[in-house]
Amino acid sequence: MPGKGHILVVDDELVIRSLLSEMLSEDGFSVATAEDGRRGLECIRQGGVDLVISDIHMPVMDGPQMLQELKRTDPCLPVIVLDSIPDRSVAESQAESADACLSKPFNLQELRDTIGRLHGHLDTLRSITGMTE
Amino acid sequence: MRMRFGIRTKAIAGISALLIMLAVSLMSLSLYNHNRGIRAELLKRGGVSAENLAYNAAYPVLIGDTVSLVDFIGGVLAEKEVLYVGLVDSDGRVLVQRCRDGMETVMERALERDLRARPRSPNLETSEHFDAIETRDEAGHDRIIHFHSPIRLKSDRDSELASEFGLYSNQLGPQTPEAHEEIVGFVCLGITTQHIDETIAGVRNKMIWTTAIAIFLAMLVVSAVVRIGLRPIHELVAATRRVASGDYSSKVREERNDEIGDLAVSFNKMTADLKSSRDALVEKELLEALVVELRETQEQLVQAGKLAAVGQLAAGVAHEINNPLAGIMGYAQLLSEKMRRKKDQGITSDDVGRYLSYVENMEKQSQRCKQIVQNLLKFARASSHEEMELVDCNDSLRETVSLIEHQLETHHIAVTMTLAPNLPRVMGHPGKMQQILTNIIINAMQAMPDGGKITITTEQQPDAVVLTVADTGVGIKQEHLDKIFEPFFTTKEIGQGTGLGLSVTYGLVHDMGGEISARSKVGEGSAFAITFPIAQSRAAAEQGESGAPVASRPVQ
Repeated sequence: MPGKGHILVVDDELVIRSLLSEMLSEDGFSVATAEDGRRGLECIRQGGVDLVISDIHMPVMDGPQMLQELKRTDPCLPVIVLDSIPDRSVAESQAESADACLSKPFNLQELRDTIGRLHGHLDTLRSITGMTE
Repeated sequence: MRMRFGIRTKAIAGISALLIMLAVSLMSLSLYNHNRGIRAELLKRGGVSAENLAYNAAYPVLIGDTVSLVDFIGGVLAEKEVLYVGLVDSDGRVLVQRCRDGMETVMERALERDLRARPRSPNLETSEHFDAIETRDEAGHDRIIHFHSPIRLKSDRDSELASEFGLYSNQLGPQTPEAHEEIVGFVCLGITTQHIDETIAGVRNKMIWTTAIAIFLAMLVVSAVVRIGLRPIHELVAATRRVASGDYSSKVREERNDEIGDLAVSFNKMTADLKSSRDALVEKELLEALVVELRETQEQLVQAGKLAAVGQLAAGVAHEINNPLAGIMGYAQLLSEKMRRKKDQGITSDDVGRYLSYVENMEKQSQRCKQIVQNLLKFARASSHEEMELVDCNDSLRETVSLIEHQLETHHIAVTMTLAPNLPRVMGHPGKMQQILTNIIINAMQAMPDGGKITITTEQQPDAVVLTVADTGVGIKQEHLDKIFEPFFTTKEIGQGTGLGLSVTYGLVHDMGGEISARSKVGEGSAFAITFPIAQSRAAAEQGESGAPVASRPVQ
């Protein structure tokens, strides 16, 4: 497993899953994908996920529902939400528990920067919790 | 300017004229009769005087007893009408003559005339014993009646008998035919009509005055009667003017039990009818204005409803289009990053294979975008006035479902389509068709908040195509089922829905000559059936003209 971290991509769109897998693998992350919220949660419960990138509108279990569940089990896990609705206010209210929100179509560099920021933040957080432990 | 006379004036004038004519006629007749009577009386009196004198004077004339004669004449002259009296013997000698003052000339002329030859005409009256003529006096004012009576001497026996008893009257009974008589002279007697003329004039004046007063009083009565009689008509005229000026509340009295009473009843009824029809008219105008206003408002709302439907769709469309766009943009960036990085190192065949997969992905996603845009364009055309054309219901259903597929998936809704093969086409607007189907499917989706199943079927009937969209949602209550196509009917909370979706759908279906109906069972779900007539004749005609199968919608 490459050292940079493990990222879970949850999106019902195949093209988004494959694009992000391609990009993140190139950047040195290990990537897991899920088609909907429920499968995403299953992956997270298996452990080892450092960051989640999730769509909002998905069948079976959508983004906000998954986020709710996720924050209950692992409140520290950073989540980036990708939304495709132009009305930001709706998207933001739906993903208010997310750590960052990007709208489709997104810029790859912007996504990288957000991942870097959140990942660094997670590292700091983990080192602090590790120290206290 | 022409004078205008009211019916009252005319009635009074007419009745008065009649009255006057009647009164004057009666008065004239009465006067005429009266005059005749008085005159006859005068003639009779004068005649009797002349006759008596002639009878009594027979012997004195015979024996020349002028003293007796003067006595007789004096008695006759005592009568006030008598102007002169003269006695003449058979030899033409005037035995005695007396007259009133100033009447000498009249008397002389009369005697002269009688001595010459008494004219037989104009005779006022002629009898066995006297005749009479009438002349005017010298001044021409008064009329004088001249009597001429022969003095007869009867038979000896009679005469002796008469002298023996000293009777000089003619009261001895009828004279026998064999009686002998001899004319020994004649009596001239003139009487004036002045007195009777005065009497006649007095009576005439009295009658004129009486008649005039009677006419005047009668006119007053007539005027009053006419006035009272015509009052209802005046009231009617006044009421008519009021009605003409718009006051429909005015009524006339109906108390009279005659034709005018009937007229009043008719008038009141007519006014009431007029009022009610005027009210109805005003009400109708108001209602029409309201209907126009309502229709305009409804049109605006339907437009708003269409926009709302478009807005609802826009969210789904944005999602649809932003996903492939994100893919295209991401792969493009990835490709450019990699190529830039490998530029100096040299690109391997592995790299080329990877890049190709990126580009293929980009192309595939571009195709998706194109499809979405095409579908959207069809939808947008619904709001413009597009021409009717042949529409394949199956194609429309597929396109619609693909447009909102993602939204359906998100709501955990599975769609099953059972489409009849070789379905005939219908006449319609592709855009409107898509709008109808979108509305119905989204409506079904909203009926299933916890997900469910939508079953879409198409089937062919003898002359129609039926599209059915059934859901497994909450269902519609029976009492709501009749109202769901009415504008603004909604069971959603305020702010959740306009209540226009289904009414707009209903309007669009009817625009294309179709029918829409719904059946539902609470807790089990609803089914909407849309029926469109098959465009047989038109399709056949077009086919006949072109000689080839009808082309599908023009390629965009």
